[in-house]
Parts: sequence; C-alpha cells; structure tokens
Amino acid sequence: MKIIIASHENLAQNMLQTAEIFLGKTEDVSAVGLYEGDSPEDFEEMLLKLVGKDDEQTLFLCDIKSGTPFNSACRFSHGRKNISVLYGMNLAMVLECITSRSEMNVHSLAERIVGMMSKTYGAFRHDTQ
Amino acid sequence: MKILETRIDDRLIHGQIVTAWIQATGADAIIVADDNAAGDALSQSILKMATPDSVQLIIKSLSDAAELIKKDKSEVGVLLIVSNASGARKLLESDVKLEKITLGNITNKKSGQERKMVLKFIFASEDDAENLRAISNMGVIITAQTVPNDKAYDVMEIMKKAGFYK
Repeated sequence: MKIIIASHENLAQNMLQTAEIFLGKTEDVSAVGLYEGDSPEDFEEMLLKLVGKDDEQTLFLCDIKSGTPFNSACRFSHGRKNISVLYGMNLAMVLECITSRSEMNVHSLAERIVGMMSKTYGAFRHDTQ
Repeated sequence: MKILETRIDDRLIHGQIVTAWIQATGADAIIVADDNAAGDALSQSILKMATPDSVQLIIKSLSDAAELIKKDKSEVGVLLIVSNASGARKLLESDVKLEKITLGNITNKKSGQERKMVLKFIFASEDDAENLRAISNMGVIITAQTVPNDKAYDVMEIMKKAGFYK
C-alpha cells in the first residue's frame, strides 16, 4: 500500500521527516505540499504521478478538511476503488498508518484509523486543583 | 440576501474560506457562482463536503446566480465566490450591485494563458488584467487579500507594478 501525505506548504514533508525519526527510512510513503500560488489542477497532476498504477492501494493523509490538498485528493479519488482519503492527520495517525498498512486493505485501515483518532488527542490536567 | 463579501478565488471553497472568511463575515450562506461547478456533479459534491454544516451552500451558473441575487430580498448574509475576474465582471454586467470585491487566489496554472506573478497568490493573465480594469472602471473597489488578518492591497496599483496597463 502506498501512503501519500498531502498538506499546505511544508507540513507534509516535515511530518514524514518526523515520522522517520520513529520508524527509520520508510518505503512507499511520499509527501506533497501545495504552496501559495499553486493551482489545484497542477496539484492533482502531481498526485497522479505519485499514485502510479490504477490498481495499487493508496491512502491519502491530508492536513485539514476542506483544504485544497484534501479537496484535490477527494476529486482525484473519484472512480478509483483502491484509494481512501483521510483528513485531520497528526503524528500518531501517520505512524499508525505506516506501521499497520500491511495487515489490511486501504478501506479497513481508514476505518480503523478514524476509530482510534479520538485517543490521539486530549487535554492534560494535573490531579491537584 | 445581503452580499457581505464577494471573493474571486479559483480554489472556490477551501481552507482559507472555511477557517477565516466565514467567521469574519458571519455569513449564513455561500453562493458559488460558476458555470463549470454548476454543470459538474463531482465539483458540487466536493464543494458540499468542504462547506461546514452550519452554512448553506448554493451553487449556480453566473446567470442564475445574478437572477437569484437580484430577486431575493431576504436578510440572509452571503459570501459570494466566483472563480475568476471574468465571472465577477459578468455578474456586474448583469446588474448585480457590488461595492467591493476581494481578489483571493488566482493560481499559476502551468497550462493555458501566460501569467505574470502579481503577488505570491496572484498570477494574472492579460484577460484577468482586462477584466479587473473593467470592474474597477465600474466604480467597484478591488483589493487583494488572502485572509482577513492579512494586508489588503489595492489591485489596480499592484497590477500596474507587475507591468500591466502600460
């Protein structure tokens, strides 16, 4: 399974770089940034180059719902059965996707990630008042 | 309806709109006035997904949007989005009254017309320049701004600086 991390600006690249601190060098994971002035059409063309063959399982991890990288990934995934698109990525999500992708197909993985996401954020409070 | 903000933005509904402009304007509804989007089911489903549940989304062709805006006398606050300067000009020429327009993203498509960089988020073609000048000549104030907290530029001024209207 291929994983494509897609964001505004440098977040995707830095996310991948940070994930590799935990996981070492990864394979079939790419990062792509949409920069100020980039057109959505050119961004989608970049996605096409990264996805490769039609039948390959591909998971998109996008930075924010409604953002152009997410919108482009959704548009791109239309009619492609082996692509799933997740938004609201954080480091825990990226690590989990990379490490468990060999165990299941892309849609099961997406479902599992959404199920565990709420455990990846929270507010810490001290016990004392 | 009351047009609270008119924006030219070829990304239509995206992060800056959802995180900044809806809140800043207090809009109840977004009208996307765009002939391509109005005729394309996939674009519509993506625009719908990008729009927060609290905001009504209306997608119309330019001519249908102009009719709706002129006809509707309600108090609904609207964020009006068109994808390019030509669209904004068409609305004005259909007698839609707009006092000011914000120029958001005109991105740098690698195919199509040659474009000059005006600001980091604006790459204008000769057609864009001509349409923007026509809009300005109708007495509409046009400023360029990515998000409400960022600087607003006088569009005629920055276009001249970029080498247009010689």
